[in-house]
Amino acid sequence: MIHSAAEGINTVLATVALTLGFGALVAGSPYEDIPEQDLPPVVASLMPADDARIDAVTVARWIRDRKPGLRLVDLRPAEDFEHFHIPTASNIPLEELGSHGISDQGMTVLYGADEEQTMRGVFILKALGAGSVYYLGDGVGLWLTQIINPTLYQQPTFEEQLQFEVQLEIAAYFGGLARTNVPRSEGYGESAEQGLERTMRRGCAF
Amino acid sequence: MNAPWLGLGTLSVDQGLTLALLIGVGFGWFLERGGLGNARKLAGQFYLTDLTVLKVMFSAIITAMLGLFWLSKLGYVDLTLIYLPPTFLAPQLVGGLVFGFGFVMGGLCPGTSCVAAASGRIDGMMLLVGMLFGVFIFNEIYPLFTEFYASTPLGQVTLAEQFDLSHGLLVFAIVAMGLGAFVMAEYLENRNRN
Repeated sequence: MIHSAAEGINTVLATVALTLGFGALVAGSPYEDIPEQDLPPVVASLMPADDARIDAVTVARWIRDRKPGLRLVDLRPAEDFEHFHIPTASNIPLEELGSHGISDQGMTVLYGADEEQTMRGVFILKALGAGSVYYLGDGVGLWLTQIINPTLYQQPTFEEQLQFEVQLEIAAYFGGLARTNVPRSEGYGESAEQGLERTMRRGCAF
Repeated sequence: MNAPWLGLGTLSVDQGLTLALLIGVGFGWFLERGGLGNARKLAGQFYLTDLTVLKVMFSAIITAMLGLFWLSKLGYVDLTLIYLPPTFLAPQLVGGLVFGFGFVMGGLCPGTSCVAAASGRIDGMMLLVGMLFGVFIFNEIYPLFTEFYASTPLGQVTLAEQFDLSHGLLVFAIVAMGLGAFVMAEYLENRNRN
């Protein structure tokens, strides 16, 4: 009796699994995104180009090579800008970006305190009709982690080692100080502010 | 999206770890109740007389896979926030072989050795000590393997991406494979016990 009851349950579970599995076959991918062409035209016009998100190493190389037409804009409040900014950047706080505007000549690289502030700046510039807009995805924190404090964690992967070597080469130009053999637990959860404070404590004036 | 709770900030890291501990204890309890703290039962897997491990593992895989697929499809889980361990083909193949060898030798895997130790089995305790000793030794000689450890990296890939298959097709194929394995397991158990 117990045996047949268990068999009955097994049959029901197998049927449910097979039904859900067959449904998955029809449903396709669980990762499907909304295609960009389905966005309302106004929203689609504000979206940055796929290659507009750049890393700090690219920006650093552009600065070092004096890339013609490069304009670097810091979207943070003036006091934060005075405290620390990326070399050659000018300060246009996010609140003033709309009224200040920006020349559509050359190329503009935006960065803010974090990704949210940076992206808001990107949308404002796109709405103003700026053409060539790039941005540091994670804001100023990305510059700190990639250029000022390139970090190689303990037991690095092959990709991490390669990335570190690339960062090291450009970081030397900006006075960055590499950290190696850092426990992974130390790097996780550190905000841009904490990273900046740690950097300032060591006396780096950029 | 409602989940994953940790990725969306619904839970703090501490709360997440506490919940993970509770889930781990629950997992261990169910393993023990299913008889998987018994090395003889696990060894039956290799003699094709008791395929409980295969059935338990495939049940877990199918349940988790269907749950994640449909919860994502219905908009409750953001799969992009779930951590995908990167693949390093050669070192992971070697690791799998070492793991399998240890499993056959000891009759328990790391999870079930904890279960066996917690239920008072001496073999489980010995395996646990051996496992920790192995971890210690590996860490000590790790510099010798650094290059191999990071070799053949494929990144964070899934089977669907690697073989350019539809996720749905893969889910269906794994469900069908699992159910086929259950039927085959029942047949082998009945044949080899008689």
